[in-house]
Amino acid sequence: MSENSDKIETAWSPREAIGDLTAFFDDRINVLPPETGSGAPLLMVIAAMCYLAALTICGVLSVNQAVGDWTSALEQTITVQIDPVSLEDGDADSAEVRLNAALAVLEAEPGIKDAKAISQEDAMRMLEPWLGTADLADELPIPRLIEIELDPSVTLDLPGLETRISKQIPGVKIDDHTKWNEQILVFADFLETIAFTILALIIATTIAIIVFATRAGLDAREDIVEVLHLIGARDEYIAQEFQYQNLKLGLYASLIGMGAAFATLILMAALGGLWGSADQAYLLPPVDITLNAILSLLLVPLAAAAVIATTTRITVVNVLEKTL
Amino acid sequence: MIRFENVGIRYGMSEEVLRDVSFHLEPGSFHFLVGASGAGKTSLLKLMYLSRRPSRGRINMFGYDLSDIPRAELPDLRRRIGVVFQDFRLLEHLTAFENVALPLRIAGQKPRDYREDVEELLSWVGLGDRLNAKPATLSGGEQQRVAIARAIVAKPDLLLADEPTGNVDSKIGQRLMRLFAELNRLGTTVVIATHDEETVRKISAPIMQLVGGTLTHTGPGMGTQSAQ
Repeated sequence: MSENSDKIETAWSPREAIGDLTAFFDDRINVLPPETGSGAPLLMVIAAMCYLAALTICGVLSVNQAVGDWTSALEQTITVQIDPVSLEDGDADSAEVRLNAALAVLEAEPGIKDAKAISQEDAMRMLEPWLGTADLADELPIPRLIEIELDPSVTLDLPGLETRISKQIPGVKIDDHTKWNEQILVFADFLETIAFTILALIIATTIAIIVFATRAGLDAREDIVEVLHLIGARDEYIAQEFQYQNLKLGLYASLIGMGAAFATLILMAALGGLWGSADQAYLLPPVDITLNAILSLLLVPLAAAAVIATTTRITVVNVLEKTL
Repeated sequence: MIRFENVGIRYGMSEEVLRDVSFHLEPGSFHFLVGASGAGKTSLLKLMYLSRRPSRGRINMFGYDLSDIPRAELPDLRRRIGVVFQDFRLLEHLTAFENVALPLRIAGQKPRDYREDVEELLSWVGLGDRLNAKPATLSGGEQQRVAIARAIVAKPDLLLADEPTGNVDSKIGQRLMRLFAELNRLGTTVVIATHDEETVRKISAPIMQLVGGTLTHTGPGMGTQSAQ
């Protein structure tokens, strides 16, 4: 046992591994002096860009989730509406009779999972936000409604059903929510386009800032860059040094931006919960800090790193190419 | 190894700083470049260490015509040249050790491969106890020795030194000249720009003399001891 342990110890020693790792970092010489003038402002600007990018991504995710919830709910249900006043005989009482007749037809239809009549009281409650609590049921021609849950495994011919049911029972209309769905989807696409435009602007602004800062850094270190060239450094080596410095700064900045974004999301989720519980969050999309959202947010520092590294490298090499 | 043919250089629209400079340096030779201040010594060295392109004329170094060579190949040529700048040009945020190790580092060597050599070289120039000192804490003479160590650490084919003994006392100066001579003995071509007549007198080496931007004399010096 001890012999085996010795063999393992010889093959891989944690101390040596840690030593190698330490040596890797110890070995590094920061050929460029640390940023002094532009470092702090650059850090703040990149942090702000990451914060805005993170919030934009969360906005898109949140809207997509809300739209998904709304549309799937609407797609799986239809509403049957029975006019309160019959077009044929003007008998308001016939609405109840026709409601029951419609329910009987609908329940026998194969693609319908459940058909439930909505009572007048419930219909009035739905209208309360617009009409208030006054008892207007007798004064207003409020249609009777049947909420239908569709069987997703069966494709229902809704126009055919509407034609058939209308022939038997006058004053019946079927609303499959297509109009609502289309409007929601168009609006969601519009919001998504805006979000991508904002992200593109954030990336473009970040690139411009990095180009500006890198050029300023090259100007400020002109002497050092010249010495490095004269002792044999290639443009790529110098570019790597600038990349390392900008990446380090970018990493700190993106962590700050991410931290701020997470704090904002937690606050929004808390407020949503608070208002939601008070039944006042009608217009707020849900703010859920899901695993998907967290993973998407973690992409922000990676994307920032890629943008910073690429921009810095291209800028440095372009500038140095003009020198001897 | 180095051939200049009718080389001239001007900065901007001013008059030429060097005019019609022509010479040929054999591999392994040792030369002094002398001339009064403003004669063009530093400009000539700049052309030799590939900091400037000539305004006219042809320069051939290590068999490459500099007017034809792609820019991407210049770093390889520069790695064959060690330079001691008149103003040292050390990197202020790096230690003496890191400054000296920089050419090796840039050439892709690992610290474990060069650590001993760099420490030994710094000891040789009398700075064995100042390895971790930053240039700002070193005297002018010490900085100059760090600059010299940086120039020779990669054992260059060509060493160019601009007033390398200007800030050191005569004892250290002689020691540094012996170092250059030893490097030259091992095959490095050495060109030392100086106006220190005593140094030139002591070492028997060819002299290139610049007067008003023109090379007026190339030939044997009057030194009493051989460079090699």
